[in-house]
Amino acid sequence: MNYKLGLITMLGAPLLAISPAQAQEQTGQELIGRTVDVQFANGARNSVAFGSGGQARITAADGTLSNANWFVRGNQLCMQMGSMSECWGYTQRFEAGRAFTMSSTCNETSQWIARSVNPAPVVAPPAVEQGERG
Amino acid sequence: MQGEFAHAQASGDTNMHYIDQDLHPDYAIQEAIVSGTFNADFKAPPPNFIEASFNRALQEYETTWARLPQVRLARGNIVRMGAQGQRIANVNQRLGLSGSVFNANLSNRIRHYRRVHDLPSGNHIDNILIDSLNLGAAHYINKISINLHRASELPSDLGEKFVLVDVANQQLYMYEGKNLVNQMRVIVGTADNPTPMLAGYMRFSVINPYWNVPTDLTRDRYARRIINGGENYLKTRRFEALSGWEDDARILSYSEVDWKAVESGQQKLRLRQRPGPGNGMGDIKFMFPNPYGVYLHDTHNEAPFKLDSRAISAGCVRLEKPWVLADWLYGKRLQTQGQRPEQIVNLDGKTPVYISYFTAIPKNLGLPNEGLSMRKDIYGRDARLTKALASPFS
Repeated sequence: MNYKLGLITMLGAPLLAISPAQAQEQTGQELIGRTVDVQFANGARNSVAFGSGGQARITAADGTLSNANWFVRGNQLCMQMGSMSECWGYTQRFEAGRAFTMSSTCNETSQWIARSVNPAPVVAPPAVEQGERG
Repeated sequence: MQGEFAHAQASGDTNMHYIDQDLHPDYAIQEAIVSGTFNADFKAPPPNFIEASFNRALQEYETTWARLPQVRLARGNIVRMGAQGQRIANVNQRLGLSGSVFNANLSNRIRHYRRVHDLPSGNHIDNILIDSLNLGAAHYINKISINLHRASELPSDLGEKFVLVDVANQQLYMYEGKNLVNQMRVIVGTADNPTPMLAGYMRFSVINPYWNVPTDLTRDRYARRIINGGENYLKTRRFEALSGWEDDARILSYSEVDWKAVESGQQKLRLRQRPGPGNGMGDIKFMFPNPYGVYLHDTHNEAPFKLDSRAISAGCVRLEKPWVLADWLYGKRLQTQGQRPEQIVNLDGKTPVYISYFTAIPKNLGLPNEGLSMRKDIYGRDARLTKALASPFS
């Protein structure tokens, strides 16, 4: 993300372009330790690395590094840098290599593509194996 | 999920599988998310001591070995102290030294390199050393990094007392906090039936157990043998066919079973082996019920423990000294009740069991780093994990 665009001008609550039928509460678990590439309508590119402790590292195309925090609140994925924060609607897990078009209340449009994601955690273990493999 | 499928899925990938979700390293984060406290003030739990040890090892490796000229060296004859010439100059350069004489500095450097890279000890130049140097620092940094990832799949707090099975090293370790108190050899799954990576709590053990054979093993391994050997095979191997998996299942006679249907997979049959001589579980099995049918257990076939390569099971972990593990887990010698089958003995608490796969690991975990132990990648998982990671923080 051009973080000037990403965190300062994109304040608001843009939405991931998905159908309501797919909507469900998200945790951000798939992003922990992963990087998402963001491309803006004006051609600017950034990458956001999501750390496990809520820290995020934003790398602009020119290599400029910026630290931020990220968290999930309700159905929103939020970034916070200093006193500035910005949230995006977040109702579907990111998938590796799949582009999600996000638009902000400032009518800024961006594409978010996760380079990789963590596998979904097993919520309930599957049934116990009948027998021991030996 | 059918166990057979679950096992195939778990053994074919490079992920840790969590039988008990509170052993997941992100559990605290998940809990914070659920409780609404996952925000900028949230402090992630610190890395477990194995991961911390890897972090130190990686840092030291990068400082000491990664910045050296990665020049390629020619293989050749063994060379010892006192030698000189271009070949020595090249090795000196590769190890960050200068000159063309094999002096004490180079000797010490080689000894250090060999220790860190788990090569045979010594201070000489041979092709083992040359091959290792030619692999380059990037190779070893990747090796440390992917194994660091494996360590990071373990929870921050490993437990006051826990069992770590390192499948790559075919070894079981018993830890009390950070202290390794005992270890033993284990037998693990073949490359075709790899032991998956699991984290779960051991809750009880079974003395004088039946071996309940998973249906895929009955189909693939035993049905043909039973067809060929007839009823006598069942008797001599102490197998019983049962009508189902319920407690009150009926023992079937040989002629009641369509063994060809079992072999073809059309019929799923419960086959179990009675306790006693030759039982596949030995005299005791340690249970942490899981969908993969993988447990720690005794065996009556002890000869393979003498082998260096012990990847011969169907996925379970066979123990060299099961009663040593039992003594430690229970804090006392278990009293058996004669030959009665299936004597269940609960643990007072629950003991975490981590089945992981370290192809490299710092020596002296939790202590000052003394280099790495390198292991064979018996399941070929390293390349797949390297590809899967494509680390964002690299």
